[in-house]
Amino acid sequence: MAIIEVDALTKVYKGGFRKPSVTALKEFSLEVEPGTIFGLLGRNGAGKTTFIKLLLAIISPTSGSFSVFGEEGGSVAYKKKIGYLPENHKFPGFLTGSEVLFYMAGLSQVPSAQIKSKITANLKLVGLSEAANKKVKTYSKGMMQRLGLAQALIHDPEIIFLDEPTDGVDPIGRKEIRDLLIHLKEQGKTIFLNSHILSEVELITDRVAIIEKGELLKEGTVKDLTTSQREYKLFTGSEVVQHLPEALKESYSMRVGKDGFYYFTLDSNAIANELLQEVINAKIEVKEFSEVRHSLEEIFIQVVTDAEVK
Amino acid sequence: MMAIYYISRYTMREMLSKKVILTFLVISGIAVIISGLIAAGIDLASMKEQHEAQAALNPMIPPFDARTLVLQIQANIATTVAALGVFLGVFATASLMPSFMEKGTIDVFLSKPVARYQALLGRFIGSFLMVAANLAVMILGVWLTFSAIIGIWEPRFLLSFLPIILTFAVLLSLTLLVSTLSNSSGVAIMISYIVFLVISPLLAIRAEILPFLGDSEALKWVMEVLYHVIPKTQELLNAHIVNVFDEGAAGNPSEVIMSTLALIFAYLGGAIAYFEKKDF
Repeated sequence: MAIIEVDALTKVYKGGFRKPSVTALKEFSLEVEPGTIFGLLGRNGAGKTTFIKLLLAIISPTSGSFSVFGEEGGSVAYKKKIGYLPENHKFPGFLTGSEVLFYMAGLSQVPSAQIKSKITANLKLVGLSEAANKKVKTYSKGMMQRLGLAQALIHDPEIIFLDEPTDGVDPIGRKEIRDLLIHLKEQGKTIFLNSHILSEVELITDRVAIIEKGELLKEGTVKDLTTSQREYKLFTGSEVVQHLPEALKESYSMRVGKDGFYYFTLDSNAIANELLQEVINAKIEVKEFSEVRHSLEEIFIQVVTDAEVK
Repeated sequence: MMAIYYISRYTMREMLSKKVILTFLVISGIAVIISGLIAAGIDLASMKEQHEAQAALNPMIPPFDARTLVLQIQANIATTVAALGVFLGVFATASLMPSFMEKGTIDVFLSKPVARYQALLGRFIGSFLMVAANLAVMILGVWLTFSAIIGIWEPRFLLSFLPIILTFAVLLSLTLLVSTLSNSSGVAIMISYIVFLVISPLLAIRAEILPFLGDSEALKWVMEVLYHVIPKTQELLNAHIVNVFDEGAAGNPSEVIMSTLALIFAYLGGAIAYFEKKDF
């Protein structure tokens, strides 16, 4: 059963004097399974943050419905089980890292007796132990991001919403955050990730959805989205074309790439086996034969560009 | 209720970090020093001599009563302290809602299991308690200094704290409402000060000024409506500070106090109703 269910959610920001209304989310439907990492991809202003804010009842929907843990959207109760790292979050500069976590733990209903140990554990988890008693105003952007992550995790939530979690974090820090997210997933947590750093999303997410101008354009597993349908690539030790039977040639089109691979676009996936068998029968050494995979970034650009053309 | 506790505590911590509260304390200290100087300048013995000399010429003049004289001086000091305290209190708290509603801050708070009315009440209670503590220090300091120097201890002066804090509470709730609606501390300060310094004093004497404005029924009606929806800070401070020093009047709830309490609830209710529905 899905842990987050969203049905035809729409959000229209009403305009004012000389300011038109903006549809930030249009008939958006989605399901997120528990224990997975879900990535919502989109350009700036595509509607990613609006979507998370709706789920957290920070804004209210114009129409549509959603539920989290089976509870109707907007309830304060389910927020006990949710952690959120907003994009461009601000923590008061006059507080220390420990103090920020103290207030956030209290508001997240962590029992008083556990607050101190939770603060210590979470600061250690995000690598901020040494900066625990420094004022937040002295923190770098990367440290602020880590602190944001610590406050989102302080009450051991079941779902964690992260809006651009690696924004401003250096490459080593990004790797640490990715490792942390994978560790949280292994603990059974569900992670909902908004990001436009697609190379990172590709590394850790189970499923992704692409959003553009408030509309869901595509959704699926990373493998499904990045694997080209009926496209295969072949690398052999010698020339292959003359060994393929003429009858088979009607079932595919082929080109030779700059990387030396033969790229086949087949009429159906069933032809792949037949094609490989013919190459083997011709006693040609097959060094690699696989489905063609595109990067998530390539797919994203293609999907968004197609949507623009339409 | 723990959410209100934590947000109140956070609010007080935030106010402590701002220099405005430090300024409040410094000004309170100056008020204490000035009250001490006033007390030091009062020579009760020579005043008694002068009074008795006048009484000898005019038998209608009542006998010299040092305690009543001290009470009158304290009433004037209380009025000044009240105006100063409320003025500073509004200034110190006007930015609390706009800063709380900033993008990146409000998102974090609203993502927690905190009802929006709890967040707003937490801000109200935290800022109220912080200013109330400052006002209490100021009033207690003035009283202790004045009484110790002049040698007459009149505890009724301390009761002036109640109308002062009630005046501040109603202006704070108005400030909270305006700053929540406008998301601007500047607008909130401006409106609160205009109410406190201009509108409330004018409405308090509306019966006297109406004839000068043509005495029209419509204007009369407008003024009556305004009188009931705008804090009666002028009456609250003047009448009740004076009442505190009149025998038997202290501690009796009056119409002004009741309407002030009603306005506090109305303003807070309005702020909560808007805050509950606002998109951030």
